Amino acid sequence: MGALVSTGALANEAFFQAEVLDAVVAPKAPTTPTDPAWNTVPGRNFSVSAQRTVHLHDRTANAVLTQPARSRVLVKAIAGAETVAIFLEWDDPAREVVREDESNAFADSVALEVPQVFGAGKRLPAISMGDDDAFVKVTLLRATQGGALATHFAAAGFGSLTRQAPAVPDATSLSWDETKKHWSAVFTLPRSSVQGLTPLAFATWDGGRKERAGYKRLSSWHYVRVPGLPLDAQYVKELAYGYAPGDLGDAAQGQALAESVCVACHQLPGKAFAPAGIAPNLQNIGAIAVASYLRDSIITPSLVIIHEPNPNQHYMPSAPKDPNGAAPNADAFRWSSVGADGKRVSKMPPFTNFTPGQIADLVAFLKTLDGQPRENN
Amino acid sequence: MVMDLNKCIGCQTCTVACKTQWTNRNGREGMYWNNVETKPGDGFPRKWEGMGGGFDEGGNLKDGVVPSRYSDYGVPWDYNGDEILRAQEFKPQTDPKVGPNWDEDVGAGDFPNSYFFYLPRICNHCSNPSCLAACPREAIFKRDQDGIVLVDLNRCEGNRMCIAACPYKKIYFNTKLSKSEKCIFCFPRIEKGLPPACADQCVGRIRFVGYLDDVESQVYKLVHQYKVAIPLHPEYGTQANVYYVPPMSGPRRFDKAGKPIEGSERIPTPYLESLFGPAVHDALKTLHAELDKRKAGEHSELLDTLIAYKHSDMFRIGQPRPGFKLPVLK
Repeated sequence: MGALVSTGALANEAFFQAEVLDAVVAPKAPTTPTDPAWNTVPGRNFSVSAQRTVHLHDRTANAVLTQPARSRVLVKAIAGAETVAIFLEWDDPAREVVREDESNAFADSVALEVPQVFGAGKRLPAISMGDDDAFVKVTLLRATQGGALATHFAAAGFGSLTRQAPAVPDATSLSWDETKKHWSAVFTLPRSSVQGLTPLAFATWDGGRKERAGYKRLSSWHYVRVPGLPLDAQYVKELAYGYAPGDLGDAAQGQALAESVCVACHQLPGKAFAPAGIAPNLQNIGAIAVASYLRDSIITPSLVIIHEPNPNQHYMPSAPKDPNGAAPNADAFRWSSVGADGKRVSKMPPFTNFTPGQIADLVAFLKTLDGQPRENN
Repeated sequence: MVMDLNKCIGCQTCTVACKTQWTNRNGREGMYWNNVETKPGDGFPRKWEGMGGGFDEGGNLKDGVVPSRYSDYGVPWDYNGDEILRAQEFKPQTDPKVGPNWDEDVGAGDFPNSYFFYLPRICNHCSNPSCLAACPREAIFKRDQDGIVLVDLNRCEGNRMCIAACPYKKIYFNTKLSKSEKCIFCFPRIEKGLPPACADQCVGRIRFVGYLDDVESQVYKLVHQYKVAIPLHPEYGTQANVYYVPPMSGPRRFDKAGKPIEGSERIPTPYLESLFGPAVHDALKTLHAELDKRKAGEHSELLDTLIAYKHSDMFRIGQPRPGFKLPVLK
């Protein structure tokens, strides 16, 4: 019987098993995590891992960041007639809320990210708040004394989060369980924005570890399937890249290649030769980036333009100062430049000289990078 | 801005001018955009010089810490003003552990050779601001027309990376608004051709305001021509734009017999170098040379400038820069 199953179907099966959460259909989607409706809804765990792509400059937070920070988020979904509710639950050692009395206290927070547009032929946005050509919508919930402070954003990469009106007003909430030491949250998507497979990603912040902004744990793209909505076979095929036998190559070969080529600019586990900030740090790229993104980024880096965190973080001390006494920024730390046509061009050259086999090896290796401490390092 | 530390009497008029103008309300009560601290001393926030931030020698932004209101800034407190009328002991209503000016006039050294001086501090409106560089939201900007560094409160999300990255700790967190706020160099006054409130009200006339590329301005003379005004902690790498005329040692040191030691320095020059860098030596040399000239009855343009016979001479703000017209001060 097994021989009759096509590779495509196998790929889909592995993909669905690994990445897809099934929503439960109900007349009305709950708006709070304490709603009893959630008790009967099966959920699934996805992992979130500490952001290491860019370096931020809080000494206290960076000291904590060296500790392993990978945790799981339990995700559930209920599709109502008007809205789809996404339930997230994650552990946190203590409840920290927005405080008016302390200047260096940070609140526990959670965010849900969905692409602005998605579907067959449309690549997923870069996981870190989208990119130039693929915007994301982000809803952030910060824990407050009385509940939660919700902010809604659109974004196209680092530094671009811009506040928006909520798609569904007053439909987010946060709840702390003191006995079980966990938070649960509900986010609401309008039913009209949901398809058969809707990509979503999430992040959590533990205020006790001074986590805020880029100090966070984030997931890769996952997908919620709403029963009754048609699945686009082409879209499923695109999303499932990396799950079919033969999609990915040999991780050991990929590691050898990465450690001889990519390390010139990127930092890899135990191989931090490149100056920090010159290119994205790839220590946990496998935990946050999907395989197709890694493949595209190697072959056509300019397809996905990621903004460097802030170009003013590095300047050239020996260069002549401008009339205002400022030393010019170090261009070496910019991740892209603007081409003649006004479009951004990635500083990373397209690695078109790699064979498809080498690309598959590299992607296989990069997918193993989960930000966790590794042996031999 | 140039501040002549030889003339600062630590009266805090600048602090109060700033506070009543900008920070006595809306969650800014604990902020001191302008403060005057005693050096040597821990300053405000406490031990800010050990809190990191700024740029390394290679021009790369360094990590820093966000000070705590409880242990570093101090929680504002009040006194039992009503009870004192009923012959009660005058005391704080809480048990404060730290605050601005906690170590005022303490200084260093052993009597009779103890020493201190005042160091007024505002945002340095740096040419390479590390607060601006650290903001993940690019919410901080430096104005083209006058170099003033401002926070765009519409973009600020209260992440406080700027506070960690500012080596002078001159950007503060407004816990009420959940935004970072800082000295705005009184830009609404600058736009009207007026000096910042701290400079305008300075009773010691220590503050000069002008553009460094305006050769007619006194700040140009003090910084570029005479090179007696130098930035605080130039090693922080932010190209600070507040310059200080370093304090010349006043009284001499006393020997064991209680006699003044001729030629001795009460304030150790190595200490001044730790604040202002090696340029402090030439600055002090120039100041002493000009002082000697004046003592010999000669004219000294530098000392006349520092004396500031006319307060309005200290400010040249109305100088139009390209594309920007301001009214000229009378």
